[in-house]
Amino acid sequence: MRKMSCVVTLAFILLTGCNDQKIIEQLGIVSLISYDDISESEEHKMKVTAVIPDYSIEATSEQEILEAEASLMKEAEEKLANQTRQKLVNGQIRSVIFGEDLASKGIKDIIQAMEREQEIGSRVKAMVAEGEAVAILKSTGVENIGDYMEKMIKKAAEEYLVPNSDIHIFYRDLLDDGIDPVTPLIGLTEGRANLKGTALFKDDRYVGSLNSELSRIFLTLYGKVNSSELTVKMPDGEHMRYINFNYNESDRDVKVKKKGKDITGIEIKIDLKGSVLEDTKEGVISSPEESKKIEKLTEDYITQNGEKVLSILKENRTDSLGLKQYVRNSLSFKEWKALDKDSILQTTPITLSVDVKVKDTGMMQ
Amino acid sequence: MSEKIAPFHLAILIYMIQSGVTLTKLPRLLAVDFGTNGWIMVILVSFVACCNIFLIGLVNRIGGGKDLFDIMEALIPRGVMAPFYLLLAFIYSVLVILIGKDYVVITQVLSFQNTNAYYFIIIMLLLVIYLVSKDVYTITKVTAVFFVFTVWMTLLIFYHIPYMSFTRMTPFFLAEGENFLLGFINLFTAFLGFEIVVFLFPYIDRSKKNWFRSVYIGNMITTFIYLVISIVSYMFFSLEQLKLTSFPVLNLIAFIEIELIERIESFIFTLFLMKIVVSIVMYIWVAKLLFKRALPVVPDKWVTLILIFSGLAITFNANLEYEIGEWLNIFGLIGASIAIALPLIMLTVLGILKIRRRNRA
Repeated sequence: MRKMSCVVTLAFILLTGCNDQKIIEQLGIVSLISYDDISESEEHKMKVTAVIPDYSIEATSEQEILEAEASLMKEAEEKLANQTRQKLVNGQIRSVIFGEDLASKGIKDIIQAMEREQEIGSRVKAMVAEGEAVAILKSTGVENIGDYMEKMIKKAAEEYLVPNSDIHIFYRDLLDDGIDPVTPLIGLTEGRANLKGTALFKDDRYVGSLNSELSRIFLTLYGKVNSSELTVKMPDGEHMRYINFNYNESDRDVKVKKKGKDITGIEIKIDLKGSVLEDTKEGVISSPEESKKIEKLTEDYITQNGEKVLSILKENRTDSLGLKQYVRNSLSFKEWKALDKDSILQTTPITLSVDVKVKDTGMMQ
Repeated sequence: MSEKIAPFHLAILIYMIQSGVTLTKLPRLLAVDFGTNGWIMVILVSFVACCNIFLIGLVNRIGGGKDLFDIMEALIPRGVMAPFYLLLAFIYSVLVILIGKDYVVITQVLSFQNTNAYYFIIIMLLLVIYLVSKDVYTITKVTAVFFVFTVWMTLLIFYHIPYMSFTRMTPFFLAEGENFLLGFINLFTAFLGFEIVVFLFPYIDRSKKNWFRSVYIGNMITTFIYLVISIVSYMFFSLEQLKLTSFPVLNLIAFIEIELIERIESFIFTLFLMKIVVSIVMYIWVAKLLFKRALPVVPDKWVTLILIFSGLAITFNANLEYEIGEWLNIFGLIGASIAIALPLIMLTVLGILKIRRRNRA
């Protein structure tokens, strides 16, 4: 009797796993999905395109690209499923690309639906494409675009070329009243998918962008950078001087200056520490005077470009750097609620103070 | 019943009964009901729970280790108490069946959507029936093993440190909360479980004088874990996001990225089953005790089945997420009131007994 009941219990526990089966050969595992705006034909209409890597033997190409028109993410899924023999699953979606037009109309609904869907993880990378997103998916030269895009964006974020854009982070910043979200911007160069910089959002609408060079500067203003490099381009005497500054410690600090209850200014302090690995100036560059000079040039370069970044943000009335979080933390709850949050950054002067330290000059003097 | 529960095991037992499925939702409850920096309330409510435990400690000291039955029946005849015992037994069984159902509902949000929920409930209850048929000493030992299997999960939060920020926490103190009172009750019910010690008095190894301290320690472990999880959540999510995230702890786990395995939360959440089973087993064990005291004629085996089936029958209509939520709100409140009332009633009875004894003398 005892043995029997043990067997029954074990059978119950183990056999439950046989329910709700998903057989991998029968699955269409979506790896990348893109959304484009086609609302001219009908309100809220989107073109949804999914990339499904095909590992089965009978497949002719390595991936299958399916397209559907729909108003909801889930509706699109249904229509996509009608076009294939496989059962479509979302568990392995690694990145999502929004077309420029759709992004500038707002993508909150889609991001929210993706966060709601239990199959889709919160580490899915979101990005904006210049022009149509579907063009990126159909770009040539890459065999498996889903995998390629994910790795490219991940690597770029690790090297601080573009901001980290997990949908969790996007959604977190979207719902925070002290910061606006950002994502990487991608585009096509000679038919190949390529990083173009940073897409700036105002709430959930794509409003402007920063090119690759300014993106690096933006990221030093955005937060801590673990390791990255800058190509400093500055006039030195009569000639242009190019310096490669490789920094591995960078920190940002934001200070809100107040006089009584009024906010008089915001100061962004950046500390960078790194090594010089390439310099167009001839001769020894490791002397104290020369190091000081390189530090000064780099500081000026960052300040100049940083101000460019700030003016672009101001122009688009967006707070991608999260300065308002610091404003919020310097106020009482009542003051913060009463504050005109849209214009505070337009009216408050923002200053940059950059401190660069040259740690070494590599293996050469 | 030769072997007794060691104080160390008692602390673990208390923690394991306390923490359960509520943990997965706790940060959201805090954010919705208390708003900014709601994690502070964990400390406050934990203090209230400590006061409650202090009352139970008084019962233990004044009553000299006698359990609820002995104390009550010294004043009131067993026949009069029997209906109350039965009522309490059924309340406890309904409460834990609801907790079990809640767990199953969350499991099915994550996976196995096409499987009948009662499948899972039956499997879970089978485990419960097996475990509850053992004596309480064995149950505590099993609990200690389950504790080791589950407590390491707390360490996963180290992964989130780079994604946390103090700036996101805001300096505002409990602003934008929706319902302070409801939040307080909800949070207090998350601490429930310690009141079971009232029934455990005779089973505890009393050779160590300070054994009652382990109840506080158990409560402290719970507080610590609740506090860590809620602080991390407040720094990891933005406030509005936290309010909208159904199970923030599952999202935290899901955020951890391991090569090859996506969504490890569905794996880790199954480990929560152990916590749930312990909670259910202990409450059913107490309910069994109550039932047998009221109706000693019913054989042991049947008592468990009667309790579980009546619990299932009473909650038959509660199957959806919001239905279970409403039921849990009501039974959580009842459970909380019982936790506070039990030691107070017992203290009153002890007081009356003392006066009577003095008058007789």
